[in-house]
Amino acid sequence: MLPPNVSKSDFAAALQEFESAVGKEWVYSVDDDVALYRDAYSPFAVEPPLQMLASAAVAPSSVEQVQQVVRIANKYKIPLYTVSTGRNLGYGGSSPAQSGSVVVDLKRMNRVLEVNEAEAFVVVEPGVNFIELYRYFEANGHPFMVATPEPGWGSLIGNALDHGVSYVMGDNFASARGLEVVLPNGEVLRTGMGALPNSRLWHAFPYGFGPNINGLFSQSNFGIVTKMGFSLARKPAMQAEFTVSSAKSDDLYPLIGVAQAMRQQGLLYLSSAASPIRSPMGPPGIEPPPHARRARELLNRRDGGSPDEWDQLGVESGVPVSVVTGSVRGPTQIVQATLDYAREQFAKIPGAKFHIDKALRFPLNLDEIPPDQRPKIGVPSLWPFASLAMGDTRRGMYFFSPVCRATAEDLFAIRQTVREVVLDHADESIRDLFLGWILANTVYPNAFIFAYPFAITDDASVNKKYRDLFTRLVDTCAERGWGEYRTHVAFQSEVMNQYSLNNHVLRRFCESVKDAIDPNGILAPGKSGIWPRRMREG
Amino acid sequence: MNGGRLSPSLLAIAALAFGYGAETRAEKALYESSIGGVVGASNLPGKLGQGYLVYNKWCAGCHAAPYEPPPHPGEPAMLSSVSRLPLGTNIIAQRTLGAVPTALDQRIDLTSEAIGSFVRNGLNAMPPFRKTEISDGELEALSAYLTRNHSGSKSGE
Ligand SMILES: Cc1cc2nc3c(=O)[nH]c(=O)nc-3n(C[C@H](O)[C@H](O)[C@H](O)COP(=O)(O)OP(=O)(O)OC[C@H]3O[C@@H](n4cnc5c(N)ncnc54)[C@H](O)[C@@H]3O)c2cc1C
Repeated sequence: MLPPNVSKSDFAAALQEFESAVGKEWVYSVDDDVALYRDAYSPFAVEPPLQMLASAAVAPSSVEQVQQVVRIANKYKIPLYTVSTGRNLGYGGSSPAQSGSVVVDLKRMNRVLEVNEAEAFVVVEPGVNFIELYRYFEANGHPFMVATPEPGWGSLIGNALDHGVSYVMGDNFASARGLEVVLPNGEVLRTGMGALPNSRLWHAFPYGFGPNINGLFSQSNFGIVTKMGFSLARKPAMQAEFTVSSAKSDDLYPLIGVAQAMRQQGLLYLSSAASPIRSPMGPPGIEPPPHARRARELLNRRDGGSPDEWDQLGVESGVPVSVVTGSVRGPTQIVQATLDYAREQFAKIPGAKFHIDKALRFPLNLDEIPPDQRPKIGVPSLWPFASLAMGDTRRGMYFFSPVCRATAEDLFAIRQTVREVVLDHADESIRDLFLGWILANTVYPNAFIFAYPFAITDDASVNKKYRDLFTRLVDTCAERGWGEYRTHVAFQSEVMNQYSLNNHVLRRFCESVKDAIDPNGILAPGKSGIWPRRMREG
Repeated sequence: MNGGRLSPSLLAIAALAFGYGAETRAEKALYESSIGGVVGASNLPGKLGQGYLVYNKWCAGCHAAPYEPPPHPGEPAMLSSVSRLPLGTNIIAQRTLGAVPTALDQRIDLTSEAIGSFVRNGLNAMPPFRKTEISDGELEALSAYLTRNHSGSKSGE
C-alpha cells in the first residue's frame, strides 16, 4: 500500500530517509511488520476493503528523530499517524484515521524523565506504559499510585490525549502538567511555563502566559507530544469504597444527589450509579437467576418498566434496585470521618442501606487483592480485560461512549433514549447488551460516562447492522443533547459532525488551525474529523 | 511495602545538606507484571530468565493460573465483580476442557511456531504485539521459556 497521492518512487525515497533518520531496523515496511499496526479490534474485521491500514511504520527514539520524521513527511507529503503505545483498543488501536498513513510508533521513547516526590508529579516520554511506570515507582520506592485505565499496557500520554479515564485520577488529561510537542513543521514547543527558557515551573504551574493551549493537542492532529508531566496521587493510608443500596427505583434520585453533593465538596474522588436488578445479563454460560427473565421482559418494553414493577421485582428477588458507590482515600482518620459523614447523609433516605465494601490499609498486601481490582488501587493489570473480553468476543469490540449529566433524571433519560433506538433498530439477538444497565461511572465530577461495547463478529452483515445501530445512537443522542466523549477513528468524522453549533464553527475553527500550522496536511489527517485543506477539497 | 521508610524527599534534603549531592536511591531489581504488581529476577539461566520476564510483563495478565485469594476470609463485597480467571486462561480452559494446564508457563505442549504466531497475529480478543513491545529477540527468549519443559513431539494448541 502507498500513502494517498504519493508515487512509488517518492515513497521508496521517503522510507530510505526515514531509515537514515531512525535506523534501518526501526522502519517497518514489509507486510508482516506493517500488519502489526492494523486495528486488532476493527469494526471492519471481515470487510478488508473498509479497513484503515498503515503503509509503513517508523519508530523514533528521540525528539530529534521525531522532528526529522516530520520534516521528511513534509518533503514528500506523506501522512503520519502518531501512537504512543497504540493500545487504544475499542477506539482504533494503532491504526491510522486515513489509510496509507505511516504510523509513528513512539513506544521506544520510554524513559521516565523525572519523578518529583515533593511536588507529586512525573514527567514521561510517550512510550512509557502504566505497567512500566508502576515497576519504576516500586523499584525506586516512590510513594505514588498509577492512574491506570483498566488495561495497563497503554501509555500515560496516549491515554490522556484521548481523554482517557482511570479509577485513581478520573479524568487523566486533567492531571496534565505541561507538554512538549513537535509541531507539524518540525519545531518543538513547550506549553505553559515551559515556554520560558530555563523555566523553573514547567510542571508546577498550569498556565504560562497567553492562551492555555494544552487542550489543542488532545484528540487533535496539531502536533506530536514527546513529553508530558502528570500530577500523581500519593498512596494513602487508607482507601475505602462504600455501597448504598435501596429496593426502590425512585431512590436513585436522592442517592445520586447525596453522592454528588459529597463529590462536590471534594469528599469522594469517585462515585458510580447502578441498578443491579436492571442488569440481568450475567456472564455467558452461567444460568441466569429466575428474576432475570422478568427483568428482560421489562427492559424490552418500550417504557422500560414502571418504578413500581421494578420495586416489586426487587422485593421478590432480593436484588437491589438502586445503588450508588463512593470512593474515599487519604489519612485513616479522614477516611473514617468521611465514611461516618456519608453514613449519616445517606441515612436521610429511608430504606437505604449503607455498606462499607472495602477499607484497605496501605501498605497493601497485593496477594489479597484480586487482580481485576488492582487498577482501583493504582496497580496496573491486564486482568480486567477478562470481564469484558470473555465469552463470544471473537474479534474484540468498539465502544459507544456518550456522556450524560450526573443526575438520576439524565441517567434515566439517556437509558430510555438508548432503549428506544435499540427497540426500533436492533435485532432481538443483539438488544440485551444495550437494554441492561451497564455501570455509569462518575470519573468526571459532574457527568456519567458510558462505554457500550459493540461486539465485532465474523459476520459482515451483523457488523454492518451494529454500525448502523451505532450511527442511530449517535444521531438520536445528539438530537437530544448528548454527545460522545471519545470514539473509534472510523467514526470520528461522524461524531464531529454532531458538534455542529453555528454551522460547524468548531470543526471549521480546527480546520483553520490545521491549515495554518500544517499546510501540507501531514499529521493524522481525519483525526477527530479534522481534515487538511487538500483532502477537504479533494 | 513502604511502611516505616523515611520520606525520600527528606533523605534527599539531608544528603544535600551534608554536601554529598542528591544521589538517587539504588533501584531495586524488580520487573513488570501484567497481573498487577512486580516480579523479581528469575533464577533460570540466560535466555530462559529473560523469557520469564517477557512472559510476566506481557502474557501473565491474561494467561496466568487462576487467582487464589489467601485463605483468611475477607469481608464479602455486596457488588462483587470479581472474576478470578484471567481472560486467556478462561478461554483456553473452555476450549480444551481441562486437557492442558491453563497457565501458559505450565504447558508442556507449546511449540515456538505456535507461540510466535499467537504473539504476532493475536487470536480472537488477543491483539498482536508489535516489535517495539516484544522484539524478535524477546520473542525467542519467551519461546525458550515457554518450551523449557518441552516433551518433544506434540504441537501447540
Ligand atoms: C476492555 C477495554 C477496557 C478499557 N478500559 C479503559 C479505561 O478504563 N479507561 C480508558 O481511558 N480507556 C480504556 N480503554 C481504551 C484504551 O484501551 C485505553 O485508553 C488505552 O490506554 C489507550 O491506548 P494507548 O494508551 O496505547 O494510546 P495510543 O493508542 O498510543 O493513543 C491514543 C490516540 O491518541 C493519539 N496520540 C497518542 N500518542 C500521541 C502523541 N504522542 N502525540 C499526539 N497524539 C497522540 C493518537 O490519535 C492515538 O490514536 C479500554 C479498552 C478496552 C478494549
